[in-house]
Parts: sequence; structure tokens; C-alpha cells
Amino acid sequence: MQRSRNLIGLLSILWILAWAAGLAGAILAGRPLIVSDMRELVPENRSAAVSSALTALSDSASRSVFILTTHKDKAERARLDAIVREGVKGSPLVLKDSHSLNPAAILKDFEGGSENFATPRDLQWLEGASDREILARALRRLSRPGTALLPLPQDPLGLFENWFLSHDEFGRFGIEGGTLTVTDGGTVWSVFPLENAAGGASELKESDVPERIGQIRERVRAVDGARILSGGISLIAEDSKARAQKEASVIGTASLSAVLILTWIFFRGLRVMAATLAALLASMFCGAASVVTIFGHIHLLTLVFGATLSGICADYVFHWFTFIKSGQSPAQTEKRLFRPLAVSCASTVLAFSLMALAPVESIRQMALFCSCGLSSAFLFTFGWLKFVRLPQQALSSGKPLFARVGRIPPLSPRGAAAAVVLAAILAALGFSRLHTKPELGLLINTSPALLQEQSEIARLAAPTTPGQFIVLRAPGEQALIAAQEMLTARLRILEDKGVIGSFRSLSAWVPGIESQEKTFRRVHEANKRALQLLSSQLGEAIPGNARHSFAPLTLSGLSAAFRNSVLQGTLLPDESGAGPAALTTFSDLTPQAIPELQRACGSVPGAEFLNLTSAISDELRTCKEQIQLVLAGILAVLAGYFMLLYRGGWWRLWLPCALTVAAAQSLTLALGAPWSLFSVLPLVLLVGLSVDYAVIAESEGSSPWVWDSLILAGCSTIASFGLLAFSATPALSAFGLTVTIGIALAWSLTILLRKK
Amino acid sequence: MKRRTLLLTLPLVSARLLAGDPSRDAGTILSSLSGRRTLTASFRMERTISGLERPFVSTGRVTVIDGLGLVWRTLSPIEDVLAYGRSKTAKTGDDGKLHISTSKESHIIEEQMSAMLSGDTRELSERFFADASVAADGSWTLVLAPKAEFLSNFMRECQVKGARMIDLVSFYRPDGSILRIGFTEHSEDPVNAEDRALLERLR
Repeated sequence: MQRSRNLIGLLSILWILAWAAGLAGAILAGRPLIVSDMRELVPENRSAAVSSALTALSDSASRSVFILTTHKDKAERARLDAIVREGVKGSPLVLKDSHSLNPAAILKDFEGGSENFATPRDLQWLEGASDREILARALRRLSRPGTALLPLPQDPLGLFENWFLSHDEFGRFGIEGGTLTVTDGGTVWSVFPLENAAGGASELKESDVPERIGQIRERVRAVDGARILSGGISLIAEDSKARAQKEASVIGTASLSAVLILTWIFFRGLRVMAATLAALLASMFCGAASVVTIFGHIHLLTLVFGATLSGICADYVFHWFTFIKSGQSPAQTEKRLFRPLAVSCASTVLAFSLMALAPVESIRQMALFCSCGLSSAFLFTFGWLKFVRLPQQALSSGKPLFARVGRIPPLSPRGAAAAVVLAAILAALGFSRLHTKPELGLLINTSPALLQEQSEIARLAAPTTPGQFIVLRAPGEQALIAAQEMLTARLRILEDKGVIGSFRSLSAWVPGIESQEKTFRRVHEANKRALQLLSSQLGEAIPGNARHSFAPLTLSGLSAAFRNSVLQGTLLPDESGAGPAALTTFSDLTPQAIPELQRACGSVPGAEFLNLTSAISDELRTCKEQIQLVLAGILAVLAGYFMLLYRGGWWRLWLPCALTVAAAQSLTLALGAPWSLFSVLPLVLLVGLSVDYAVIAESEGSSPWVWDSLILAGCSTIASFGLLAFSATPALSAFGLTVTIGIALAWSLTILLRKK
Repeated sequence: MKRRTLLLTLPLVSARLLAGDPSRDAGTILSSLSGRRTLTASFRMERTISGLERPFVSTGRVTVIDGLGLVWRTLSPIEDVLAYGRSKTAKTGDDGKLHISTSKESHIIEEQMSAMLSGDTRELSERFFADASVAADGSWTLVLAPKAEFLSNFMRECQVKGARMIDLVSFYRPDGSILRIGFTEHSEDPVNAEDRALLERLR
């Protein structure tokens, strides 16, 4: 026996060292160990369509931050501009260059084919324009005190100029005192497009960006009559993160205090606390190191879920010390607890192992994390806790606190059947109220005011949405331009209906060849007529446009300057060799617009609507559905396992577990929480906990101390995770609520279904 | 848009000149453009066209009303109205009728104009290198050269000549064409009622 005890201690050291070596190898390899990018959850087959250029664009869009300020007085506006510029200095917020687009430079790309372009409104006017109207328009153009983009013979009616200046690149924004401006009615907003070097929505480093923005807002608001808007995906992510951290801090403090008080009440000292902490550290380290060793990295979601494992790991320690407190020696305690805890640990590891069959990597990571972590806790408990002595006052504190629980009569088989029926009714009630929400949305807890400002900024400054794009592929350049024009026509209809906000596409600058030719025929004739009429009016012949034949503007004919400035973000490099690809980007998309966009893409060959946000949400939903299925498998395997070990009494161990899973989920749903990954994940934890309670109660049910042990274990888990039910973040709240309900159920069912 | 704005508003600079002060440079001339103004003037605009011997000539009236905006009314060779109010723009359309629209252009125009009339040198000095010469009789010439490549692609130089008021503004384009606008019959009062009514509609 002594030899076997020493062997476990040695084994636990070797176990930790083995995973430490694996972790060291991964560190030396220089790979990033923790991956927090939610896009990593998107399986490879789905992400294949997401090229690196698109990912870069998405990254850039999610890093964008906008600050808009306004004041009716221009001098005050200049003062606000100075406040913003001063405020972002030395921060991760970098002001983007907003003056790089030089119309004269890109105009050269159109000089040969200026007659290929006109606005729909001008084309409509040309349909019925008489000579008198054509002359009047040409005269008005010459009489107005501006200068034209092109010489008179090339654009006598200003048709090209109207088309050129109708683009957002020139039409939406102005410049005032070196600052970009956008005018909304009579209000001039100064626009500061910034890049958050601290990161985007997925990878956000610690920074002082929120504080800087807060200071700027405070200073701007101190100016009488001034208004400020600030927004951006990274700011929303930062806000959610800050709120979650604040909550975690409050809840964490309450949790720690509760666990400390519990430990004190039960053990009158902090040694147990230190031992528990060491067990937790060992299990977390081994869990994380095993995942890094096998997978090369660990996803943040795995790490967060893995932390819940501490609920079970701590239980092993509490069981150990409760038996020590009852007056048992370490040897006696080991003898009494080894089998039940080994059974509990093996059954839980077996249950978690089933998750390794899931095709989603993050679930497989969780399976490995939990199996290794729990094994470490078991080895630690039996290898090292024997060296920890309880304080004398704990040993002499007398009777068990919850011995009365043992007097509650257990249910007869008929009563157990009634419990099953009741659980079935509860499950039916809960699932009748089943509703779901996108999993990503449940992680967001942002102030409504910030979202309102974001919406206002989207309307005024039209930033690119980082999560939704349309990728269009075609076998050749001409086919691409034609398909893009077809798609753009459908999007214009949606824009006119107000279904979508503004969008950017290749067609805005490079219409289809057929369309260009059609326009050329109309515009060329009109320009020729205008010059003839003007010549008659002035009594002097104006030399005509040198070009008489149609020459299309093609993508390959455009200069690099044009491609890199105006077309940036609308053309994708041919990375896969599948042909050229065009990209349509949007600003301010609502969920209602998504199906309409999918329909629009469905009717255009080669068009694919990519919704990165939805892909991540879908993957999390798949995770949830697979875990739900795995849970059913786990319960089936546990039934067989308990039958093998406990023969006819197997149901007393299995039912608490199965009913806890079923009833906890249905009660959580009945209380209005959505059916989400965050209410399904804790069920796996509950399986482990309820198995632990049932096995301990089965093997040690005759001891009055066993209830102290189970209640302490349950209370500590509720203190650790149940308090999350008070979180304002829906995901955390659902998690906490499920754990609390589940533990209450696991306790009650363990007590009621124990053997007589 | 901004290019048009600039070219349109520069001719409207009206200055209270410090006659007989030969020490004035561009800065002092610019800074002398102080005080918001209301005025009406007749204009004659000559536009040279490449390949034509004679310039294209248009005439009309310009009205600036402090706090309301600007009306550029061409009377010959065709009737045309271009007006920029506080929050709206009015232009004669292809159908010959006046069309009012909400446009940011009007606001930029108004802002730039008020900058010039109130002697806001920040706006001008940010966009132009300015140089000046003053004659013994008090008349002056202000030469503005655009700082930004964006503007210099459309305007090589702008010369503003005046004495008590601005008399002539000339724009030199890189292609060699010239736009000259001469102002006469400056009057601060009474302002044309029709123009005032129009600007009231464009508030």
C-alpha cells in the first residue's frame, strides 16, 4: 500500500513533467500558444473562401475607430479638431491619411474613355434632350465660375464630370482646415478616421484607448454646444471586455470571499485553501499544456471552459479533507476514498473522452484539457495531500454540520420512477419555451448608447463592415466586370428600398463593357452635337474630341495608382489561381439585410455572400449541437459503466446524473435563458459533478461526514461559477444559472436516490 | 466639389483696404478682409477656350448676404442661377427651372466665403501660398498659389487685384486657359430682394 502511494506521488510528478516538457517544446518553437481569434473556430473548408486579402480587409475594418465632432461655429470646430488630434497623440490610435486620393492623378485613367461614362440621371436626360436643351446646358456650364475636370471638347456637357464626382470618394467628404468633414443637413461634422493599433475585435491588446477616448469626449463636451461621436468595432469589443472584466472582478471577489468563508467554516484554516489552489494549478497547467503539446496551441474558449474543471478538481480535495476532519488518518482516508474517486474520475474522463470524437477542434481541445486536468487533480490528491496536516481546531471541531441530511429517506423505486416522470414533464415544459440566439451576440454586453453612436457613425461616415462581404469570381476579366454589374444592379434595388446602406463595388468605377459602349454611343453623339451648337453660338468652330471610336476601360488597362487607391478593397488578388475576384463591401448592415443579400447572390453566377460573423456563430452553434449529442452518448456509456460496476444498483448512480442534465437544461430554458452553447457547456461539468456526488454517496453513504463533503463541494462550485448568473453578459449569466440549478438538482437527486 | 467652391468664392473677396499703406504684405491684406459683409456686384466673366481666338463671355450679378449665403446669377448669354444657402443649394436645371437640393457644397461655400469676408486667414493660408504687391496709389495684387497637388492640378495660380474693393480675379489653369472675372458696381445696400428671398428659402 505504502509502495502504491509513493508510486502515485511519483507518477503525478512524472505526469506534470511530461506535459511541462511538451509545453516547453511549443514555447521554443515560437508559436503563439493562446489563440483568441474567433475566426479560428471557422473550419478550414469554410475559411478556404476567405482569402488572406479578405482577412486583411476584415482586420483593417475591425481596427477602424471613428471620432466625429461638431459645433455650429467654425472656430469652435477648429478647436475641437485640435482637442482630438492632441488627445490621440502617443496613443495606439493612429490618424489615417485622408488626403491621399488625388482626383487629377486618377483622372488620367479615364482620359481616353471619358465618353463611356455618365450618371443614370444624365443618360435619362440625354434620351429626350433637344438641341435647345443641349446648347443651354453647355452654355450654363461655361457660365458658371468653376473650372472643368476635362477640357471643353472632351466634356462640353459635364456628363463625365457629373459621373466622376458622384462617387463617394469625392462626393461624401469635404476638407475643412485640413480635417475631413461630412455634412449632414446643415451640420458639419469633422471626421477622424483612426486605426487602433491595439487590435481589432478578435485580438485586442491591453491599451489606454478607452481612457484616451474618454478624455477626448470629456474635453469636447466641456465646449459649450459641441457634440462628439466615437465608435468602431474595436471600441465595442473593448467596452464588452471592460464590462466583463469589471463584472468578473466583482463576481470573482464575491466568489473568492464565499469560498474562503466556506473553507474557514469547514476547516478552520487556510491550509486546505492552499492545497486546493495547488491542486487547481496542477490540473489547469496539465490540461493547458497537454492541449498545447498535442494541438500546437490552445483556443481561449477551451481555456475558459477548462477553468470550469476546477469545480470538480476542488471537490476531490474537499472530499479528502472532510474525511481527514472526521478523524481518519491519511492512510484510512486514502483507503476509503481511492475507489469511489477513482470510479468518479474514470467515469468523468470517459465522459469527456467522448467529446474527442467531435469534428470541431475546439471541442476536442476541451476533451483533452478536461481529461488531463482531472487526471492531474486525482494524482495530486492521492499523491500529495497526505503531507498536508489540518489545524488542530479543525480536527477537534466535533460533529459533521450536515449529518441531518442523512436522515432524509431515500426514494423507493416507485418514487424514483415518479422523479423520472417529473423530470420528463419539466423537460417538456422547458423545451416548449426553447428559443435560441446567435452565440456571438450572447458574448456582447455593450452599452446601448455606444451602439447608438456606432449606428450614427455608420450613417455619417460609412465605415466598412468587417464581417460581411460578397466575393465574386469569374473565369476572366470581362466576365467578372459583367457579373459585378449584374450584382450591383441587384444591390442598387436593395439600397433604394432601404434594405441595405451604402456599399462599394468594382462597378462603381468600372461598368460592364456593354454598358460602357451603350453609354459611349449616346454621350459621344450628344457631345458632338453640343460642340456644333456652341460653335454656331460663338461664331467660331470649336475643335472636336479627337476620339471617335469606342475604347473600353478594362481592369488591365487601369494604372497601378488607380488600382491601389480607388479600387483598393474591391479587387482581390488571384491567390488560388481560380481567376480574378471582385469584392463588394458594405456599411451598416442589419440582420434583416442578410437573407436579401444571400438571395441577390443566388441569382448571380460566381457570387458568394461571406458572413464571417455568421460563420463563427454557426460554428459555435454546431459546437452546441454536437455537445448536446455527445452528452446523450456520455449518459449511455455511463449507464453501461455503472451497470458493470454496480450491477442492479446502477440506476441510483446514473439517474441523478441523467436527470440533472435533463432537468437543469429544461429549467434554465423555462427561466427564459436561450438554448445556447453557454447553457449546454455547463452540462458537461454537471455530468462530472453529479457522477462524483453519486459515487461518493454510494460508497460512503453510511458516513455522516459524506454530506458535509458533498455540500462543501457543491457550495464551492456554486460560489465559483454559480455567481456568474448575476452577470449582465448573457453568455456568463446562462452558464452560471445552469450550474446553480444543476448543482441543486444533483444534490437533491443524490440524496433522494441513494441506497438505503 | 471643393475645387469649384474655391474658385467661386475667391472672386467674391471684398476688402476694406488700407489705402496708402505701402508696407502691407499678403498677410496684412488677408487680415484686412475683416468683418462679415453684405454686397451686390455686377460681374463680367471671360473664359478662354483652347483653340478659340475669342474668350467666352458671360455677365450677371453676384449677391452675398451675411449669414445667408451667395447667389451667382448669370444673365447673359443664358439665364442661370447658382445659389448656396445655409443648408441648401439651388441651381438652374436642364429643364430651365430652379432646383433646390440639400448639399454639403453649400455649406462649404458659405464657410469659405465667411472665412474670407471675416479675415479668417487660416483657411486661405492652409490652401495657398500668398504673395502681394502694393502700388503707390493703394491698389494691390494678391497672388495665391495652391499648396496641395490636388488643387494645383486644376489651378496654377490665382491673381486678385483690387483697390477699395476687389476688381479682378484671374485663374490660370495648367493647360494654359484663363478665367477672368471682373467686378463693377459694388454696392452694399440695397441687396436685391429676389436674391434675398432665394437665400431665405435656402436657410
